[in-house]
Amino acid sequence: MSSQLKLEAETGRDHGSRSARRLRRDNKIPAVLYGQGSEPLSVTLDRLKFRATLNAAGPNAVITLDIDGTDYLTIVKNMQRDPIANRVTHVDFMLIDIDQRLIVDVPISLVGDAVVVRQEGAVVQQQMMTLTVEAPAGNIPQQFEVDISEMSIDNPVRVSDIDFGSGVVPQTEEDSLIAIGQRSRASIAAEEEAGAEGEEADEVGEAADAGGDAADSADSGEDSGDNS
Amino acid sequence: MLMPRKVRHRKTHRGRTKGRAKGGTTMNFGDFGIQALEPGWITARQIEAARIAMTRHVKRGGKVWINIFPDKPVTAKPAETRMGSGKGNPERWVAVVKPGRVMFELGGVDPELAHGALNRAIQKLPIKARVVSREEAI
Repeated sequence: MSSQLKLEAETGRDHGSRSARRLRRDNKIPAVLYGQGSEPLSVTLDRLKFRATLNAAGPNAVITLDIDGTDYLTIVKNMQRDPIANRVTHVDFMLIDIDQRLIVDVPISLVGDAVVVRQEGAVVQQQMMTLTVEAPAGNIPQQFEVDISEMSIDNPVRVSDIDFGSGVVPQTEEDSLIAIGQRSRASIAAEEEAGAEGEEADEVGEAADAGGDAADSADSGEDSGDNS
Repeated sequence: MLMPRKVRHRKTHRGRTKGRAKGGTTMNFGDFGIQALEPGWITARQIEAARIAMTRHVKRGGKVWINIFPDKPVTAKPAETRMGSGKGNPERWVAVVKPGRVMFELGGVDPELAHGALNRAIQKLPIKARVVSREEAI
């Protein structure tokens, strides 16, 4: 069985950093294919085609690698990048069976507007960017969309809130946090200041009232004195 | 300002800043960040100035992460002093940064506001840097 995503690769590249650098200069990516007990096979990919494939299907897509006319069902196991140019410098492909169960990291995307969190003076902080799941190779979710519109500071989003498809099993505990509402130190300090000012104002108000009462009683006393 | 609480040696050699960052090149906390494009020393004052520039632009909400720490002492001799008589006194603390290092991260704000804040923070730094986001194409 093959996947709909097909990518051509060439064999017969030289090993070593110099030849890899030459390949990268020619808009190609050195890659390796391994798994299922086979010998590792060094291959070369076309950068633009690889980028188009992964942009369309996501990082966990099952890709059919066409190497010299032979099809291999694979998944991208690892990807090295140049941190400055943000270009892929090397790719590891792993051979798979379509019925095989794999453990993969699936990206988590937050959707919706966390109105309650904003009203509470906090910001949404995503604690977990990817979730490790076990899934059949033919049914790997490309990403999990988590709705945060209902969340609040006391009600964070947890792994148990995600709707996993059939056959997808999370590898982390169900009560692990995905996103929380966290208040900044500045907002806490501002609230404390406001609270302190409010208390001071109350104290001043009470003192004024007490003074007023005393004055009233004095007035009444005077009145009473006058009356007497 | 950031500085170590205690150090094993008060004065260190200057060292060399060649090559690229070995780690800390990816975003770990926020949605947007500042990535160094040149090697350099970032002083504690510059880190603080960048942090203030960011938090003032964002005003309310948002969270800032500082991924670098100024743990290297820099010495200087007093003005109008003759050369010799030993190494100068520790004057300031710096963080050694190499290209690729994500120095600051910002989360919980709109992309437009985040770019504005981070660009203001970049102006406070002595090296070339750029704004990076978590969701960049492959």
